[in-house]
Amino acid sequence: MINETQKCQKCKKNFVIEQEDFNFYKKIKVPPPTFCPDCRLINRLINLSELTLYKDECDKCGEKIVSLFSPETKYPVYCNTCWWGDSWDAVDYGIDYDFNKSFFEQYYDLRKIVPCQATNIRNSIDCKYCNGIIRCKNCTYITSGMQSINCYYSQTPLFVKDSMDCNFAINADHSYEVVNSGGLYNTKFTYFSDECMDCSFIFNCLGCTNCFGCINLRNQKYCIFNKKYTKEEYEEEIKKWDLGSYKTIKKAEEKFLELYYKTPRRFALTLNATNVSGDDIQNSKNCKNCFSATHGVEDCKYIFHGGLLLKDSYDVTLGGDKSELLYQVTGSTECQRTFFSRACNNAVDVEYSENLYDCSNCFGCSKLRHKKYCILNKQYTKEEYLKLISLIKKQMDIVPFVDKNGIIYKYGDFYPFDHAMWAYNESWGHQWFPLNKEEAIKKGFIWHDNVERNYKITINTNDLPDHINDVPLNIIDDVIACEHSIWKSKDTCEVTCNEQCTTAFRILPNELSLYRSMKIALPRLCPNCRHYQRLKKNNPIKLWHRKCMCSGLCSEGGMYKNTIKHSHGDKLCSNEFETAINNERKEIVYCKDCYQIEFI
Amino acid sequence: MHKLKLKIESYKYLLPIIFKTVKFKLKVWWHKKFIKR
Repeated sequence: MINETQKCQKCKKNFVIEQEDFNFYKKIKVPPPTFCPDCRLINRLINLSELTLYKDECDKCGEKIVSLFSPETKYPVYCNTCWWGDSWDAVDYGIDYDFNKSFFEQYYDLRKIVPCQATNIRNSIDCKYCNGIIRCKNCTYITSGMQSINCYYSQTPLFVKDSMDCNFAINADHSYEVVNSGGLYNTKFTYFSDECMDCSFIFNCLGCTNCFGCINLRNQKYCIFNKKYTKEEYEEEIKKWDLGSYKTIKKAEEKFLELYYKTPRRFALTLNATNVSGDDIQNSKNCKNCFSATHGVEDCKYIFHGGLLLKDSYDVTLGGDKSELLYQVTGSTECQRTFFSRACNNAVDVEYSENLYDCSNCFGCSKLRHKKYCILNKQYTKEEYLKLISLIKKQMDIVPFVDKNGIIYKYGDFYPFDHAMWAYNESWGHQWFPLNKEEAIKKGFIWHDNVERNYKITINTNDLPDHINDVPLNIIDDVIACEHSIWKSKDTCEVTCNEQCTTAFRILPNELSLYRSMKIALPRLCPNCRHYQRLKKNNPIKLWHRKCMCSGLCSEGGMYKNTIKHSHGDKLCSNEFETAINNERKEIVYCKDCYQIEFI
Repeated sequence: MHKLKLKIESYKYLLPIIFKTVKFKLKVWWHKKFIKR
């Protein structure tokens, strides 16, 4: 095995390219990367945006729309109907390749003139402020959703019904505040759990019913804070934990966190996964440094949110669904041999392209549909295309693009950081690697100052009724101040967080009826702040080498006393692993063996 | 041909999801009909 250490062009830190990586790059005929895995991930993330929406007008029909692009952006934006319509063709924007200019400059010029899709909504009814959704109904402010009904303020709700505030939920009904969970019915505050019913405040529980404040339970009933009760006792005890009261929610959250820090957790959340490293991996094999890889990620490295059969791929963010041989790709499905591209669907042999649908053999193209052999959106014959492609790849190395920070981009690098579709704070980059304005600008990212909002606050969070039963019906007319914003006067406020706070929010009529039927107190934070709070429940996209914290009879420091004798007796467990939980965090981290013997 | 191979292969992962979805829907239906009332 010959490994090579390289210096990242962006962060100037050293990173290792392993022999297996070289084999992959050789297989797909691309040069090795010049950026470290973290910088490559950030570059892909800043080309993904979902949450930040603006009011704008369609540049074709003039209709008022909600758009992912701010009105002052350089890109022309079309509404959903116009964008999918046949009244325009992206090939009309095609340009000849100029061998005296760098490829990235020419490609950026093309991207600036081809119309963008305001938001991607397909086959959905009555969905407002949504993006990237398919077959949804009556949803508000959801992103990347599929077949969901009456769903509000959620990211990636799949087959979700009558639920609110979910981040990556599959099959959920009457659920509130869900993070990476599935098969839920009537659950509140559910984190990394599966197939649970009538539960609240649960973490890593499977097949549980009627549980409250529980951690690491399997197929249990009537448990409160990991203590087993009889049905009658449970019914009596649970009356004390009425989540209709905001004060009780806060009290329960505090007690739940106290138990969470006292209970060991597994070094990584993996299920049915062989030979993997990373976190939140299910039904996958041979994955290295993969995060949120579910249902069929095979022989992959550096994947973040991939699944439904993704094979032989490196550096993919939000991709999969029958895909193979992807490299440095973001937001793409059903693609094969696709490199350095974003938001492509059913693309084969495509490089440096975006928003392609059913295309093959394209290079440097934007928003094409059903096309073959195109370069910079211009149609060529097969022979011309193949000849030009080899010349362009060589030219990219001879005439590279150099950005204002002196970073050199050649063939084999993703889009320049300066050419990102969105500003750092509008993109996924800010969600997973939060930075403030000064830090972002210092690191060479674009920053978009938040739009001035002229909300007239009618009620402060302190004045909201504590219990949902006391909330009057006319609350739906009120403009509620977010707890993260300090309103100095009726018109001016100071935001105390770095979470894209909208400073105020309203309660929708359907939302209120859900809060009432599920008996949950009204939230005190705006939807964006709530989303960022849920994101904090996820581990960072980074791995640290650590040792198991089991010292035989108890955990290191004696916080948790083991309930069963472990294979290493009363000595320290010698197992080591790669985990996304670093040393500075308070959690007790156990290896697979120690965790399984204690909890399964 | 290769696309078809991938599509068939993807059912290895899709079928358990479909099975789980059906199981979940039945479970919720049962719960709503017989347990909640």
